[in-house]
Amino acid sequence: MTQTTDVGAAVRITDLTKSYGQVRAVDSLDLTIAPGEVVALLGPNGAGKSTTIDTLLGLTRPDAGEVALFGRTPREAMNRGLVGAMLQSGGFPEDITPGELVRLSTALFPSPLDPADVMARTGITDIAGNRFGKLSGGQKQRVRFAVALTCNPDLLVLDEPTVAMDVAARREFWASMHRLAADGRTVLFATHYLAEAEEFADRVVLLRSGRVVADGSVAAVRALAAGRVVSAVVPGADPAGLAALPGVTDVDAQGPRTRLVCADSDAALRALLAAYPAARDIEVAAHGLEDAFVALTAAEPVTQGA
Amino acid sequence: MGVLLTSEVRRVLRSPRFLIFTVGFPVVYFLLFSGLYATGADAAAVTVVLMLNMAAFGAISASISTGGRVAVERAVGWNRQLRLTPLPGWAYLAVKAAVAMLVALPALVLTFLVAVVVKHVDLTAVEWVRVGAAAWLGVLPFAAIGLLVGMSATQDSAQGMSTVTMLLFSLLGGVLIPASILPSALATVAHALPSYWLAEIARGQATGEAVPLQGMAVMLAWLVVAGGLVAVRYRRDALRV
Repeated sequence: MTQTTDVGAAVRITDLTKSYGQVRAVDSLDLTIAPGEVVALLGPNGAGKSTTIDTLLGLTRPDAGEVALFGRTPREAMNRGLVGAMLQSGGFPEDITPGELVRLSTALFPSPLDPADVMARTGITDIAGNRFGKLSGGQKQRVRFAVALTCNPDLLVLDEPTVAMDVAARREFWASMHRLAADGRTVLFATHYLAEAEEFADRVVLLRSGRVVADGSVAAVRALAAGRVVSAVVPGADPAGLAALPGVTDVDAQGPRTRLVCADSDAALRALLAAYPAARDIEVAAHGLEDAFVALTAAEPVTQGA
Repeated sequence: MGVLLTSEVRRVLRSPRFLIFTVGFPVVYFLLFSGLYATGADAAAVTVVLMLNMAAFGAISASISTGGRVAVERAVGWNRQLRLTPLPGWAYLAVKAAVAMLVALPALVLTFLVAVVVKHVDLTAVEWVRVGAAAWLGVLPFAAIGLLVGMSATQDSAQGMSTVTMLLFSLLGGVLIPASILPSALATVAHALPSYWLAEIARGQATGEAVPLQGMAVMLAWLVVAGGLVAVRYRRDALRV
């Protein structure tokens, strides 16, 4: 650890690089998270989310760069019970029970929460004696969450916490997350559900090819891919011609409707109607985070459907 | 560590099939073989040898399959999960070895009990303690060998590898086939295996013999080499993922 490390930061990742063979999973990534922030790590598969999280947790050794959690190495932070983590899948043997898992965590960490209390608050008391392998997907995630919470962490790291949950279970999960973790804990969660990032994070960090491509509040990230989307049925349109129209930054010409991502939708609309008088069913809409996500994380200009 | 050990033992008890196999087979084999072979003038001595060989067989199979189950835990990411706690890697491995030792106990004790009750094996209390302690300590190398299987195998190959390892040590070590009837080349192999010495050292305790140095050396060598390889593989595992 260098003396420049800010002890005040909950997470400080500096110039992190990690390759698997020829693939550079994380590429000179910098990320600082202040205590109390709720940050979404957003990106498509292969963007480097899990590698970043694994390195953050000390599960993977980086090729270069540094990771500090509250000014400590990941190992030190773990030993002090500063970090609770929910890994993406698996994690627990099939024949262990949630009660054993929570009690085990209680025994291993220096200043844990009360096990009965954690189980009650995460809603796993009634399944505490069941085998982990026999639980439903949603129940398993609740157990993982309970285990992550047991060490009473200052930083919660959740890798795709609601994967394989239905919408209702997802809502319920986030509601309990907010109830239990919002009291000043720092939360970093990886997700590819844009709505989750939009709804539950103070801050969104977009990753693509192992790099941060956007970082800011939900509003700020959305504004980064500013402008509007003009969509219309354009008979006889060719994508190259549409892309050349003034104000248009991107074209998605699959399906009956053509979508024009526009920096200046007014200019684009005028030019569209001038060039294609037969264009009809025109709609102009603001970007959602979904569009920002697609625009910012696409390695090449977007050509596939959203 | 105590809580981890407790939870590990409870998990083993949760799969009675596993215990029945590791305890049931040696007892049945003992009754079968002693009925067949312990008939002549030396019946009492042969019964003791068969009792120890079958107990050793059960203990070896129990400890190796316990270690082999580590492969399944690695596959589901249990080791990764434990690395998110203050528990050091060596403690995890030590607990696993301890579980292997504990799981070997029922096979030893029950075979001894059946030998006393059914075959009237007659040893003094001191002899029983010495025999039991020698046999149980002799399981240590197999706890390490089992862990090595668990650290080397995949989830799918773990059971097969455990069975093959257990059979190789049992057959070549003269536990299932007496080393005395093996061809001399194989007898030499047997004398280099911890399975042979597990039964042999324990048998010596029943007749008040000194522990042979060669046996101690072989046991220790297997324990150190297998344990060392387990540590190497564990480190490699931790760096890879």
